[in-house]
Amino acid sequence: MTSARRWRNLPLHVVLIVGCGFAAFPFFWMVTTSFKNIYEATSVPPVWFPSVWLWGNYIAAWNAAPFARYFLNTLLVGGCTTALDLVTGCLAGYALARVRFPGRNVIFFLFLATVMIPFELLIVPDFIIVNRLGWYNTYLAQIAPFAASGFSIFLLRQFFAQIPGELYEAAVMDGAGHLRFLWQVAVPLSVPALVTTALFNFIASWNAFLWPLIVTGKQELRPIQLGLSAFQNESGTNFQLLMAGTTIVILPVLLVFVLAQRHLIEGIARAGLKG
Amino acid sequence: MKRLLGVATAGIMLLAACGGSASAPSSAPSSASPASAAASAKPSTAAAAAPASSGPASTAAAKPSAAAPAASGKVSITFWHTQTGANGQTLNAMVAAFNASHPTIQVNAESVGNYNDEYQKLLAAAKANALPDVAVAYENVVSDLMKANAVVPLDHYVNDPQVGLSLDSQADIFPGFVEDNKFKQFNNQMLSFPFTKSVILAYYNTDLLTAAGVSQVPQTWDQYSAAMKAVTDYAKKNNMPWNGANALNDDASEFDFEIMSRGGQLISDDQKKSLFNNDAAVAALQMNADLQKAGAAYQPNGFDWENDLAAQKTLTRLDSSTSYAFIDPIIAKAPKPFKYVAAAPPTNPGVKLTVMYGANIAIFKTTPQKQAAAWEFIKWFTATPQTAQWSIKTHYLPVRQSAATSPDFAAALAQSQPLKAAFDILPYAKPEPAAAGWQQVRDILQQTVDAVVTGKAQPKAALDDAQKKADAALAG
Repeated sequence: MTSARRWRNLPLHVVLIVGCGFAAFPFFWMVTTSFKNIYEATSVPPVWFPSVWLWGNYIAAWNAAPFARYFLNTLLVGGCTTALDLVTGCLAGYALARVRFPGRNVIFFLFLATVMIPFELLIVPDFIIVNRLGWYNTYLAQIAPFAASGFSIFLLRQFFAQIPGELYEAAVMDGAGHLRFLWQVAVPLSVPALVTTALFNFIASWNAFLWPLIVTGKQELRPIQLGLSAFQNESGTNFQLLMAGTTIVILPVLLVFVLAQRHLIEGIARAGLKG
Repeated sequence: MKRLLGVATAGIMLLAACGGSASAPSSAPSSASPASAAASAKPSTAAAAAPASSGPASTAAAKPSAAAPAASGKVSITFWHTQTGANGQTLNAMVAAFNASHPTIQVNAESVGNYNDEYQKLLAAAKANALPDVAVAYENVVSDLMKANAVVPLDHYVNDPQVGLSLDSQADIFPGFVEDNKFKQFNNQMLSFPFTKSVILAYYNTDLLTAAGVSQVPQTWDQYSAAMKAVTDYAKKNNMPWNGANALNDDASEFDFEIMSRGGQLISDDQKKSLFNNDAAVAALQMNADLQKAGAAYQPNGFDWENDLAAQKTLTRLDSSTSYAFIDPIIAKAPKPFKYVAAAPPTNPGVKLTVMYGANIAIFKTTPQKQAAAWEFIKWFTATPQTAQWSIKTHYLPVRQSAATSPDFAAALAQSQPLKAAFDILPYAKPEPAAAGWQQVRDILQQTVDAVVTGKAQPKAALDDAQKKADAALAG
């Protein structure tokens, strides 16, 4: 690169670095605060680095609630939700993209419309249904409502719609029907979309707080975010322990993100609308 | 057609982005920020779900939620509470002790988040006919659920010759707690029982008071005002990093206290009209505004006052008697240690008063056996030995005066000055109103304090305005 071009890029880099700083600062704060004592953690003006690095905070945070069990629950519920959502999303998305049947567009619109409904509006009706089915205090109540979602169907439909018709015709000539084409051709071609959907599901399951709070009572069934409420109280918050707990909770998500980053960006970039 | 589809899809995606959550529920933990983590004693109005008052009333027998399957002959009841951490462990241990000593009853205690979360859960459960058998609840929550016809009045149990409380036992409960749980708008029935109670105390940095020449802890509002100014002068003269002498607590509970301690009333007996627009309220607002202007008071955010007190950037704070459990570890780590005292909050001369915080416990309509079992649990939990033990371990206050006869409690009183101060003022603790609509009035009161103290409004004008809004809230 010529040096003139380098200088022209400088403003862009400055803006990006500043933006990066803003995005990274909360994580920096979270990690450094997790090592402070309670006085330093709540000091104003803020103390940037702890005077003594209290590794014991992580042990105390881990012991404050049954986090091991919570992790397992989140993985179980998240895994099941993601798997089910992928399957239903693939089937519905493929049908809406490539199978001609009457009312296809209307159904697609309806699925899309469900994406617009704020979750808070659904809490009471969903709870009434879940309770009548006898699923209160079960894993099923945490998985079933999210086993299919309009967002995944939309995303996957867009991807399947982009597959050239010639491929399908070629597969038909070799004796394949829709289902076989879906599983053996369309799905392998749409890996970015599948990874994106899986990631969204995984992150949403990881963040799930309100719904599991409402449908579970027993500690043994609860996911990870409910564990963080152990650090808050009517009269104060143990900030240094809360930060340690939050760091523990975030680490697996960060790991998954780093591993799947390439797929995720590709998936978002390619989920464009084409005519 | 394809273009229309594309445009419509783009529009829907835009709206969906505004809506926030994608596929699965992704609401971040709502209790993560200190401001929303029940910084005030009462829960703010729940953001979710339709209000319970307009919901379909769960008629007589609400279906019990899925409790653990009962062993033969055992009555199994579900108990929702909001205790976490160490307090939660204490509660679980006590529930286990109850289960062990009562072989025919099994109490399943479930921690359901903070008070806001519990409120949302209770509302959802009320609509689904799936309320627990017994739950911790504030007065306004009990009010809402009573309107949905879900609460069991306790007078029948309290006065029952076999399972109830003797007259002596009833008189043993602090009168303020009894008053707190009798709901005027429901024929003065007792709809709940005291459970995790605390009172307003004033925390003072006594080293700072002495250094500034204030010889005794303020007992009247005039002494208080003078002390704030004296300590502020001292701090300024010595160039201390200083926020203000009083870390103003603008919560409605503290404002209610300031009015009542100056002889003012809050609400009419029929619970329909607000009475807080009086001289006492004007005096309270004026004092706070003057102190703020003189640099002798400031408004901290959330729990910041705890650190400010430890850093000696402030002198005092009116707050719950449970706070000392939190400020003790912070002060222990502070750079310059000092002594503090928790005192009865200041009042008009000759007045002994404080306002009570904390939640009560209510029984919901299920079956007669479960309701009876729930009453046994409440009766046991609030009996003298248990209420004393609960208070010692959790820093809440006992509900009975006879707790003082327990040797463990007497020892705890000797060791903990804040606990003793709270227990001594407890006979004079008064409840706040629990009328329908009072939750909104609390928000109005807090906004009034904020407006006057920051100089945006004059006390009388602000109170006139607040009265109009409050009366509307109480009426509708």
